[in-house]
Amino acid sequence: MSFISATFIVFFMAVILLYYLTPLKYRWVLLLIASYGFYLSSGVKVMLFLLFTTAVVYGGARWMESVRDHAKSKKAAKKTNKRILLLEALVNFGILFVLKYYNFIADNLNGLIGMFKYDFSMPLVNLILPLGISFYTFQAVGYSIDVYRGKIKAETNFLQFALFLSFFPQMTQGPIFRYGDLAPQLKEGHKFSLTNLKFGLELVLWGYFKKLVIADAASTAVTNVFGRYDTFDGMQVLIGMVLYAIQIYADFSGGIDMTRGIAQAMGINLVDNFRQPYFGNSVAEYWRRWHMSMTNWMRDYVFFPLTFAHFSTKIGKWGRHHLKTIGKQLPAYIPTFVTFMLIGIWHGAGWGFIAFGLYNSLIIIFSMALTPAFDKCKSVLHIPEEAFWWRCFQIIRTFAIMVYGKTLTRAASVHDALAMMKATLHLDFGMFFANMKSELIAVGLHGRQWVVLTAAILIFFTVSVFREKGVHIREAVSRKPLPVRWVLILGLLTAVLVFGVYGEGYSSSSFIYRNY
Amino acid sequence: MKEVWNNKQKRKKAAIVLVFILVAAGLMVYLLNVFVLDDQKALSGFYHQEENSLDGIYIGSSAVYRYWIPTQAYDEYGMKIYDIGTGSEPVVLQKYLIKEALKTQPNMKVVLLDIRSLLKSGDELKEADISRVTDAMKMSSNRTEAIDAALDYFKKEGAPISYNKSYYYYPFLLYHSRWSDDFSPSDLKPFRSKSPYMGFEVSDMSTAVYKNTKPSYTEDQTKLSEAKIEILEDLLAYCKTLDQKVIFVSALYSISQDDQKELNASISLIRKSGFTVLDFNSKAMEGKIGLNWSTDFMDSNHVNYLGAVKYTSYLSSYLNKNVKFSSDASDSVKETWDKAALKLKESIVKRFADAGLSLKHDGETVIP
Repeated sequence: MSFISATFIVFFMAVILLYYLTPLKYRWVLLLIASYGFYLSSGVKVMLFLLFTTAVVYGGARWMESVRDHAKSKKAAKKTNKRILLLEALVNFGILFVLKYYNFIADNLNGLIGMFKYDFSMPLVNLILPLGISFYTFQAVGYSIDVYRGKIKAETNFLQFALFLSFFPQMTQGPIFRYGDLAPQLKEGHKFSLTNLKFGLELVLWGYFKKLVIADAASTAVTNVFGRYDTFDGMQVLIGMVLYAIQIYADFSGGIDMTRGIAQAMGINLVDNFRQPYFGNSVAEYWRRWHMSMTNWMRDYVFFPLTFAHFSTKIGKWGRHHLKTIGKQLPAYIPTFVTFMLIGIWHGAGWGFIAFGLYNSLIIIFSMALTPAFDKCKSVLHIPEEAFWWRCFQIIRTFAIMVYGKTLTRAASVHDALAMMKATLHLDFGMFFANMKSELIAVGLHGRQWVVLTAAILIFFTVSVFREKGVHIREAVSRKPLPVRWVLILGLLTAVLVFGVYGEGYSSSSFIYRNY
Repeated sequence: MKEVWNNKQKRKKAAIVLVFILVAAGLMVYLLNVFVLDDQKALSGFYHQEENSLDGIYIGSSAVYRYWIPTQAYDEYGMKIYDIGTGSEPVVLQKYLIKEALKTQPNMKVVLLDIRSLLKSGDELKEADISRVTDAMKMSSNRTEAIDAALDYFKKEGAPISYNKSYYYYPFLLYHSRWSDDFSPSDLKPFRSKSPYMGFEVSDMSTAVYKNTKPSYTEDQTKLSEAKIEILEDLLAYCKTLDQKVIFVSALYSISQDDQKELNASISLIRKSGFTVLDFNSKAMEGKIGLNWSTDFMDSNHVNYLGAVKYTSYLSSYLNKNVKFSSDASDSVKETWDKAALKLKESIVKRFADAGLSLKHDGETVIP
């Protein structure tokens, strides 16, 4: 059941209505039924995977707790629990790995084996990929680690734990929640609040705007450019790449807004997953703002453990002794590299994603290594760190880096991505501006579509600027006079209904006869 | 609820929410109207007819709204037979259009059904053939059934169209993207335009003159497809249940031999069921209307205004002889029809003048 379907809209409206009609004490039961109902709509088989993960993680956490309670010493308990945690993580990541990456690995290994002319090949299999498996697996393992670390108590109610892993708004594209942030809110029955309902539905509407009016409209041009980049000039390829960066942000953050909005309409407040990532002034800063639930997960469960691991301390000592300045940073390089490689791979099975991980990790490592040199340059050139123009430059530079990086994940192959990047080295501004209209239309959108898309992106940008300044948009709107509020909300609703890309594309050519 | 009712502030909030919902609903209705294609004037106009004011309806494709001039038949014999014609209207929809018409006009005396569009093969069928009719129909189970039946027929005929029912049930899903295509400020008016001439279509083409080819007639028949037989039998079975006199019509045009063979097979099936068929595309009817193949057509398939005058004159005379119409009509109905008749005459005279032609009193023109 897609978020962009009438069925889903009816479904979530019905859930919200039933939620408030159900007695407070049993509202979590309704959410569990709705969540499994939602999941079931994507198939019975995939639900078995979710149930399996739920059972394994629930059982594992209870087991760890039991070991901790009954062990003779803390050390012995920790040792046993470490084994349980590793087993649990192995099982869950194993499932994810097989379902998501097996074919990619098998295909590449077959290619490699073929080069040596061995008569052997790994079979490629038609595997199902359960809805949201990357999200609920990470959420489940994160929960297990927190139980192992003693940060949280293991959940005793299996059904309530099942709700934590299956809460329907987050099943499509996350975010990845911490148990402590989400579970208590799910268990608690929330009283009806008109403000929550209003703010929630407004956020859902804003999410639809981003998804349907921006992301899906940009998708036409993006598909066109990435599909046959060799027929476009450098400027057109660059436009396609920039539009893809905007598309993926509007698409993803739009979906998250819908998730948060639906939850908020039921009184459940979910933290945001994005904090104006394209306003980040460095690649590291960008990643602190983009898909924060995933990057925070990686930080807490991969980066920090690696940074403070015994071998990192050893490398640090060695580095300080042999490599001077760079040596001090050496313990951070390896965790950074591993973390970003994992982030790349998490996004999907393909060389493009691996290259994307490598691209980000190398940029961050190089920028860490070159920071002293950059600081020196800035000092010599008298560049004021806080100057507006300098900040703008940093933002544009970071955005450009991310535009190129994301091309690796969208192009059909790394080779194509590199060819596209190469094409953008030959920009003929004169020719482009002289024939701007035809150049833009050739990208795949008509005149009016460009106007609407540009206007929508500008609205998105303006809202982002206000948010960056700390303005809470919905609260600010709610303080406006009633007519202003209504015009804004109904205007947004009209924009989504009219300019949104949904339904079958209308083509006047199929209605020529009506003019007869 | 009681709590809300007793608290003044909550009552005010509830009222605001209610008004907002109403305003939003109004906006939705407006948008639905604005983006739906404005080419269903005939049915929109039909819905505005006073209840029980019509003597009959004439259902079909452009072979209806280009041929039958309701106001002329009204002027000559007082009969009020409305054109419910849309471009390429599929015969499968005729049953549902009769049902729709009977909701407000249960006392009609006659139902005329043109069967030309039955000759369309699967690859000639288009989404718009259905949506031109069903978009204009009011929301009801009859509309849903009409869509289902039409899609079922199109599927059996192998029409290359979208079979996603939601696009037909809720046409806004399909048409909202018109804003980027052929949408103009004039489309922003909230109400659909209604046919001013009781369903008869007047356009620049009405004054066009096309030198048409007279067909050579045949009595041969070809086998109809299973789907065509199925919908025809269903229509015939339904027509048998009606109190109205049902007459099938095949309006005159430059018909090909292949089409004629299929038409003959259809007519044979209809006649076997005991219904009258006025087949103007036959040797027997040749020359009865007095059409001039050189001056009375706008293209090979349709008559122009001159041809329509002759066609209406013949058919209305036939109906006057064969159907018993009641002469009573309210003053408001008479006024509506009189106004429509006058408006059509004015429009036609103007169009002929604009085209550099002069319209003689008997309907003949002087071609420059």
